[in-house]
Amino acid sequence: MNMSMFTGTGRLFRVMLRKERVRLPIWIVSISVLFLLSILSFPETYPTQEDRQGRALLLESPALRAMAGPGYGLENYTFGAMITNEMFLYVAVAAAFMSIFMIVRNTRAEEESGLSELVKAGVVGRVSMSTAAFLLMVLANLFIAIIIISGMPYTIEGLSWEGSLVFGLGVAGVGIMFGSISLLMAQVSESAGAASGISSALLGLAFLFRAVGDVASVDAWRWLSPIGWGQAMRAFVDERWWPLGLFAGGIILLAVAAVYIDYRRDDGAGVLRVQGGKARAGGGLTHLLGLQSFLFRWVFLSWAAGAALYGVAMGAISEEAADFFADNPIGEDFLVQAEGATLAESLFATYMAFLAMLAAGYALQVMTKMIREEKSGRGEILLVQSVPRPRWMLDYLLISCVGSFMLLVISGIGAGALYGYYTESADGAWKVFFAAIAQTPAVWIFIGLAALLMGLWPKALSLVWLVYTAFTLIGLIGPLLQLPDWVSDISPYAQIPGVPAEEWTLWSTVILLAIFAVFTAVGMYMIRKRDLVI
Amino acid sequence: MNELVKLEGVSKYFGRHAALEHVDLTIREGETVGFLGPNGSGKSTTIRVMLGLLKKSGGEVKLFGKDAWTEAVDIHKRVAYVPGDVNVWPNLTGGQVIDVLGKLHGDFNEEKRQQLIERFQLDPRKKSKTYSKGNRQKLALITAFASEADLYIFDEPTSGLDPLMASIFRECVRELQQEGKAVLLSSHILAEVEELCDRVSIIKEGKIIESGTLEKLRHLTRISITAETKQTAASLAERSDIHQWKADGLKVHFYVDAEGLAPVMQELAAAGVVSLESRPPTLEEIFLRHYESKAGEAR
Repeated sequence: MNMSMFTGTGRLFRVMLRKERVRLPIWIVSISVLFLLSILSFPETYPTQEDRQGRALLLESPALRAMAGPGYGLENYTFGAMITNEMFLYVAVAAAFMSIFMIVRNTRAEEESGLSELVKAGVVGRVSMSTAAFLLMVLANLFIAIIIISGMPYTIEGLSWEGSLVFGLGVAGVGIMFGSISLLMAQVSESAGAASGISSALLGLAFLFRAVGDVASVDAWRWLSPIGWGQAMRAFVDERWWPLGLFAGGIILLAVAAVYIDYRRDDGAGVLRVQGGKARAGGGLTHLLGLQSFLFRWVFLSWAAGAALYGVAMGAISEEAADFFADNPIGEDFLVQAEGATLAESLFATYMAFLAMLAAGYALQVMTKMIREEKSGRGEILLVQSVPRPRWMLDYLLISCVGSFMLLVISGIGAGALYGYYTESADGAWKVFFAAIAQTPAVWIFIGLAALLMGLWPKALSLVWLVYTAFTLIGLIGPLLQLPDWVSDISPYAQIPGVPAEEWTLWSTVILLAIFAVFTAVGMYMIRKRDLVI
Repeated sequence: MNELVKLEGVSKYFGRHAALEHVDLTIREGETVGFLGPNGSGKSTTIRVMLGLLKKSGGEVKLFGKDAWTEAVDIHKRVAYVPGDVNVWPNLTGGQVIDVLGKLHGDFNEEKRQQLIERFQLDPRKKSKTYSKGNRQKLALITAFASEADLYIFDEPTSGLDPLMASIFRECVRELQQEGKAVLLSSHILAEVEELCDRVSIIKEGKIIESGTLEKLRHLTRISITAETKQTAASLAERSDIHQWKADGLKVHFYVDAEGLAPVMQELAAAGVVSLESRPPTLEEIFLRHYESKAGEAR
């Protein structure tokens, strides 16, 4: 190895900067500014120390521990402690996702498309692309940190500079750490999809490890997770700087390993060997639905694993959590309110709304694949084999509708079975299961919207992600932001009654399904009327 | 002869940009038509309008007497198409891709499939993502040649193939011709079109600028002559139908307009011709000449 392997890094860095000049700033600003805006409402929501202590009690519940923070500084729950416990996790995860996607689309994805071949044939070192992407990723995370650090003390009175500094650096640490992980994965695996998939899975695992550590208060589990390192810096509670050393060590190790592999391997190749495949397509592949199902099998299976895990977790903690809420009535603010519903039922009603978001995420991943197929020419080559366009679209509709319904079923079975087992109530099990599948229309509305855009305005199909993100954010932090009712009411998630706490109504389901049907029908009709996007 | 494809005054606008303007194109049964033009001249757009993938802005497009837009699916059953940029599913093997596409198309000959895989030397067990551009092109070519169709459309089919594979492609096209199939071959490789095509249409900036049989196109243009004479033939250089005169002693090279060939030959004979080489213009020369003259007019 010699220094020439880094030749041209500066030039490549500037090219990447230009390529990312819109996308990256959007990520940076949304993460940091959304965070700052969301903490603005805290003083109004919890005006007194008593209110805040009530909120602290919530964090004693295992369910909220798993979804929020480690529970530092609960005895004197200041705004700072509240932010660290309840927000750090999400800001850090967002920064991690930004880093993973940015790294993969500037390294492995470029190799897949063949662009890196062109670049690397120039006067450019073998590892310059990786290095430039790494530097840009670090820079992006530092920007997030700078905005957070310089903004936080002005959002709420009493937030210290030192705490803000620790918080911001912690976020950047987690972000850069996962960026480095994905840089390594981009070297190891042969496809961009696999690189970001494995990195995201590791992020999920990191989330899970710290959740186990926080719920059970076992430090060993927390240390397994880089998110746990960031939380261990205890911003605003009892600041500790040394976990930064862990980040530095981890990042250097990962980056050096990635650069080493990049130096040693062929362009376009990975480390994992590709074995010979089948020379013939089996009967299942040679009809259209079979082909599409085959192509989506891993997407579905990974979402199904997530849905099952979520269902089991819901069922497992429901009883304990309900007991907790019974002792601490203040937490009820966060749950679906209904006359005569038990606490466990209210809890499930809230969980189910999250489940709907998960299933909609899968459904949209399938639907938005259509436009990528069309743009890449894979749609063209299928359509000219005398496949009518509506028939082509139908498969995506089937796979997203049936698949998302199955996710709800899988999760519902997990949650219902465990809940029924704990409470020894078959009726309870059924109610929970039904609550899960009752979310179907809210999920399908997104599918309908995607189908509509695909027919009318295909280039804007990715707008569905914007709508999805907006509604999901409203669902997640709407109650915290205390948005006016009409804002949260336009969300499809809000159109489904909060079963099992509330009574299920046929008419809301019918109306949502009717809208879905109209959207889909218009989309399927209009897709025959437009140019292919090529 | 039966007209399989008829484009009349076809135009296509993308926003305000005119990609095609009044394009006429006819393909008759059993005919191979070459479609020539530089990159971005509208070859692929024309083909996509023919296949009902893009909607024409004006004119009429009929394939097998059916409207290309409203009856696209019926038309596709009788057409085999190889796009210029073949993209397939990276996680399927080459063999799987061929089967998937072939069976979706319908009339698919298993025996030909095996033969073609061997002729094109494709390893069908490899995942598509490991294939080069040329190998991905082979996938689409094998699928097309193994499919039963009345019209075969190739959009720059050899742009990723090596010379050996390109010659196998030409062999396969000749077999189609023997079976009496119609072929549309879009290309910017003139030798290929010259070798295979009965008729040629040249497109430039969305307009058809030249169209006809190769003989007719040649007739319109100049013939290249290389000759050596005993006495000097320098007086020829004065003639207005002689171009690009080059003399090296008694050895001369020039181009002559087709009508002027007879008198020029007489003069050469009078000068005591020792050796004579005459060559009809290659398509390349027709092509370049057209571009040069248009560029000249523009100036």
